[in-house]
Amino acid sequence: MQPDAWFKQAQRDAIHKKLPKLVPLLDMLRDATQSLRGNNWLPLPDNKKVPIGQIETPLTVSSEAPSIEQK
Amino acid sequence: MTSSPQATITSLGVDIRRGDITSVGLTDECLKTIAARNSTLNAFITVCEHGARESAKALDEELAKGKDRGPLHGIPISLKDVIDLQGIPTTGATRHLAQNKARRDAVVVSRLRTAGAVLIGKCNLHELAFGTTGEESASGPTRNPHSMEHIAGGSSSGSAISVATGMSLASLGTDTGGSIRIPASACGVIGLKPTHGEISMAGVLPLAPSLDHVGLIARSVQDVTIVFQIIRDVQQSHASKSWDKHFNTNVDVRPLRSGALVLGIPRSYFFEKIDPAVHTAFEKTVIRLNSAGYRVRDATIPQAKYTGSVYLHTQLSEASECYSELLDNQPETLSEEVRLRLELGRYVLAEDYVRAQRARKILRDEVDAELLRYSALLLPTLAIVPPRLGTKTITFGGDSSTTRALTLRLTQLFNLTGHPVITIPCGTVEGLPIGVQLVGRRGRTEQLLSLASICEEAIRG
Repeated sequence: MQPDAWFKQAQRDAIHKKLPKLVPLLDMLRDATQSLRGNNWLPLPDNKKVPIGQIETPLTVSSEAPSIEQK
Repeated sequence: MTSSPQATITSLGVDIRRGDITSVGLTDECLKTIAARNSTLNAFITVCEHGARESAKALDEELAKGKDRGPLHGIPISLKDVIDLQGIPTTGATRHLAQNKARRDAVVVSRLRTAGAVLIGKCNLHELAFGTTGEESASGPTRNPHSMEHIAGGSSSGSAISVATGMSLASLGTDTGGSIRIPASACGVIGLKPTHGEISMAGVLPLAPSLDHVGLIARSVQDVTIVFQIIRDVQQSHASKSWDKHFNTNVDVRPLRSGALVLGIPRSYFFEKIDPAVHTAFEKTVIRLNSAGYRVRDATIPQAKYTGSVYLHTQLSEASECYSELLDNQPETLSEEVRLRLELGRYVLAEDYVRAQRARKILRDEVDAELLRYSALLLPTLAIVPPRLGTKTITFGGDSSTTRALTLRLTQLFNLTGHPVITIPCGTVEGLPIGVQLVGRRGRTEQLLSLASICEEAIRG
């Protein structure tokens, strides 16, 4: 369902339920829905994903910074 | 004694074993502080005065006979009032649950008891843990101990106040979008949100189960580590039982290797709406870290700008589902603010919830990828200085945002991704505390704590 149509219906429902303060919150949710739908959520390519057991590198990058043992 | 910021679980544990103080004496100190300050700060909903004294007395007798339960033996600890303590109501700071007496201890509470903690009381919170200011509670608003006119942050407000003032030495809380880190930062103490699924939620009121974490607030990284090691689920560490399971997560569980630490600052999105005074305090912390020899570099989480919308669709839907019966039958028992947010969740379409879950996985992969390059991510905890009570919107440079959106802005991503995060105080702005977050690798909370203990001095300044 398109967000605009859905949230117009939702606002009518909020008024019917005597919750007028819900109307601006529904506007905020509609904007968030449009933002969420506006992005093409493609997964990261496999070569950018973190394989199991390969998250060690940065802990040994700099020789001049204090190491855990030195501290 | 306990109100001195230097008093920690570690230092008081030494004093107890040396015979300089007793658990009864320590408990009385905390109870005295509560008696003196709770009427203004409103940190506690229930004070377990009798139970705490009895428990402290029994623990002193045990120690005299040579039975030592470990570092929490005789130490007063408080609980956010969403965590079950047998025989005491778990109110969630909402009227509907005022008489909700717990039949048994939550799993984390039974672990604290076994470890010899003195359970001193139940702390105030933002109603149902659904808010970031600590103002909306059936027991009344909490106040920042550093300035009574300012918020303590939420939702674990009372927990942070109790630790900051010496009403307890540590406090268990929950964090669904920042609810441990926000008040810890606002009150100038340390808060840990572990990896998602690492600590049992059994016996804890939920808000949004795929985002909910039990965690804790204390005064030093060492104290946080002590309590974390006692309450965590050893059998089910590194998030194996949570929503991550459905995404076939890969979690690195190898031990920390020694070497230099390199911290990554994710600037894009996170620094686009930030109080200039907080930004300045943060950059001073970076300078201190650099001076101490740590490398600090810029990091990128490309889709971070969608954090708010992904979070909203996830959190609102799950919270509405958790409290649908209450919404249907007794909505008038809720505060208007919390009721409206719960009602709002009923208008999230199923297709958008599913989209948000797909987006979460991508955000999680992006954070994982940055943690390949860095030992941890570093960013401020709150984008704003704790505002005055009643502040609904905040404006910088002509751009206005709600207090709720700004308080959640820097914390909520890591509830979506499940990464462990610790907040450490890094200074003050006009007398109000500011904190920074260190974000670690999923399933590596202990590594994050080791790293935090190394950096703590440089961060605090």
